[in-house]
Amino acid sequence: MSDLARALTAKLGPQRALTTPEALLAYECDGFTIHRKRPTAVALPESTEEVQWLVRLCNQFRMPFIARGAGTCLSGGPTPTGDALCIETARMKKILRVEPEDLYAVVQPGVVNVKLSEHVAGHGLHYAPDPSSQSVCTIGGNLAENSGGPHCFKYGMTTDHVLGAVVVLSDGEIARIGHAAGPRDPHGLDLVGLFTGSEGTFGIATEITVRLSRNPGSIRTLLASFTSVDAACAAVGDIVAHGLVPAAMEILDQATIRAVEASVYRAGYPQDAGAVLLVELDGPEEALDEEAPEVEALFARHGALRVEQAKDAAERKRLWKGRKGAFGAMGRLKPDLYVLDGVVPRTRLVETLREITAIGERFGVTMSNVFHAGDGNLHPNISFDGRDEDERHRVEEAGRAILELCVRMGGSITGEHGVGTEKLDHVPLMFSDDDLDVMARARRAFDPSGLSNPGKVLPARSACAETSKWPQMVARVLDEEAS
Amino acid sequence: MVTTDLDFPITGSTTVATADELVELLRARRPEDAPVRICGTGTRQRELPAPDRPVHIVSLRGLDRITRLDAEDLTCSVEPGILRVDLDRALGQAGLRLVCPRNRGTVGGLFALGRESLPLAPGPLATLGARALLLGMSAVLGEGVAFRSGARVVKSVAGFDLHKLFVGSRGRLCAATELHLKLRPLPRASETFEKGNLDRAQALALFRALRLDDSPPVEVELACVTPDGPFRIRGRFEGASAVVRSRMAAHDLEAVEPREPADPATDPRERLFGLVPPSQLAGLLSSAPSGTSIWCDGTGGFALRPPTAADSDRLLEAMPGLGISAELDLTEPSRRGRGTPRDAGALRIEQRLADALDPGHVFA
Repeated sequence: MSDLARALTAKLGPQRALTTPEALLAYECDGFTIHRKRPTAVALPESTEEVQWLVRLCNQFRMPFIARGAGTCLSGGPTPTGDALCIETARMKKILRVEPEDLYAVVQPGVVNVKLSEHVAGHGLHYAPDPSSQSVCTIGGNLAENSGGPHCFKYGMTTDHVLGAVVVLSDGEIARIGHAAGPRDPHGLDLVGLFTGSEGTFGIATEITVRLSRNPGSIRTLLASFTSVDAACAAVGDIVAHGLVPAAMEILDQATIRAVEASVYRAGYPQDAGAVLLVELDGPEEALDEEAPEVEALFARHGALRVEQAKDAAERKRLWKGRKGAFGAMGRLKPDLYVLDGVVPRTRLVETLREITAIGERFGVTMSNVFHAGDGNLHPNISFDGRDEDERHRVEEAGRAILELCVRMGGSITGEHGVGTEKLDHVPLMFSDDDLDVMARARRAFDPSGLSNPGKVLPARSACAETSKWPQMVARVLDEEAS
Repeated sequence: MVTTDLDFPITGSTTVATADELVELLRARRPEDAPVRICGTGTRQRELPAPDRPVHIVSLRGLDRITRLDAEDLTCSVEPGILRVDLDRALGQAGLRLVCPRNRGTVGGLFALGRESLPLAPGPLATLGARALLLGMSAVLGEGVAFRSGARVVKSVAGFDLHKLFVGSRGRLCAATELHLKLRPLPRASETFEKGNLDRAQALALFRALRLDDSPPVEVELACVTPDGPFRIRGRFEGASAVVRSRMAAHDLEAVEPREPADPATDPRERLFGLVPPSQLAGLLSSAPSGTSIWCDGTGGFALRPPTAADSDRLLEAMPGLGISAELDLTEPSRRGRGTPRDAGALRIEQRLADALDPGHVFA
């Protein structure tokens, strides 16, 4: 047993200090399973003070550390790139304070996203960011990755709902950033805005203050089927052009519909449709009485084959079931799935999807699409068999071509999954060396020692100059909703 | 051109018209030269801490173009020197708007100063404030290095969000040269309301009811000229016309004409600007001495005008106990920037960021 392991065990006990190879196995990757590396040890703290102690211990041993929530990240964010202590926050799951009058809550980072909404439901409140993995992912992980979700179009990302945090910095010191009444102190910098989405490279948040939102008065969920993805995208464009701001607009293409309907996530989507479009409107009843018929008329204008409106909560749940189970349903197609996460301007969705189809054909890979249409946030899914070297190589090449396409269209290499280890080589597609140098300076201000989750977000300086070392793009997406 | 008299010494001023000009100017600067104070129209320089030595003013007012307007994508890119009023006009012609309170001066100033970027009531983007609307930017460091952050699309988590850091940074870290903004359609209906002659209890009750309404107004403010009253509540509902009508009726409100943003510099008293948790608002009102004019919005932002500087200092001492954070802004140069205590850890990071991004202390 190493000195570090001995110190951990002495402080936390064997139940909260994991050091054996078999115990570390579960921590060798997140939802992006191709990049694997076991941490040196895993610690499960229960308080800010314990996290502080762990970080100071890491300083003593010059050991990098990585915060980890539920491990649902899809880009390798909490996967070590070398020796590292994994600090898992799963035991820090207390909701410390709820202030319904001031519309905020203070939570520990291991609180599961949906649990917070359930906890404050009695006050008529909820926590707005709703990533697909919300039943298992943690608020701390959401903060680190700036998570999104289907309702971002109207409600914004995690960064729009975090007010403050207690942060353990890489030297073990504590900083309290933000303010319960707003993320930026009136005479300070927006440290909360910079920290959110920094993928654990700036330190570890041990208490997080988040906004709570009032529940909408009413919700209308509509599902329309179309002959093609083009027609569904055109309907989305028209909805926006008419000044409507639905809470969510999600499209599933035919390959996805068929996979869903053949799975336990069957939702009654028409299998002959080229695409289905799920639109959710929320707000006061009077507004929805005005907006829902307009949306239906726009569906009709774009040749909707069938339109269905959920009549109650059970029907709403059924319509969403197919969308939320889409990634799990892909497991029927091939043993492995790579979920891409690119963004394009919404008006370029149609041409981008056509090119993505062409890329799939060019590389001979099995492709399906499910995406946040309102945000232009694409999730092309490539199903494959990871045991087939040639197929895996083609998947890698297709993935790179798709992300290059997104950047060429004026978009981004990631809308909500983060860079992690997965997209390190793609970052220079969006940012120049100067851009990355300035970002590196900001990082050093938080983490001068470089011990906090090294090797993430920014490619190593040498890697920038190298020709691409395209990482193997293979990820088995574990559908947490299903589990 | 700088249009407002500055109350601190300057060595000269330059107006740049392109990002390249700004880069050249900064690269040509020598270490012994006066520090640079970035400004737009200059109308809000008195809200910033005064520099401790003479500065060279660099106005970005010449960078005043809308470089891209993708109406269907609900995004646009602008140079920082464009006047807010000009941007609003152009967006309005496209049926769009920037969903945050109107400001005087430039769009760059809106974000750099960050006053209107304070968060509004939780809810849809329509009420999240300017901070949520900045998708990305191009900017220049004091040493003349140009860089980008964020993206032009509505969603991107690539790289660190340095553009968030720009919001409220007051030109201390970098000078923006292009801002990518998220837009929203014009509301279908909008109604401004005002109710005056309220006593404190009535005002607080109405303010709370509006703030916690299922369909709250997008803007609401409580104001009085002295904490003993009378109070006035003013605000605006937006959305579907049926909703606007029903909320106005539910709160027994009458419509009034919208107003242009007032010029806060016309009040000779110094101003305390800050954030108060709404539940502490009554405490704030109670702690304010007679003769203090008060303005609060529905989101925690407030501005007080105490009668004397000694009153301001007493309030600053009392505020941390109420969970309030505040700063003196509109006052004599030597007092600007004085505020409630800050967390030492946060201050340390801020200092490190300033040293990392502007090691030559070019920006004042």
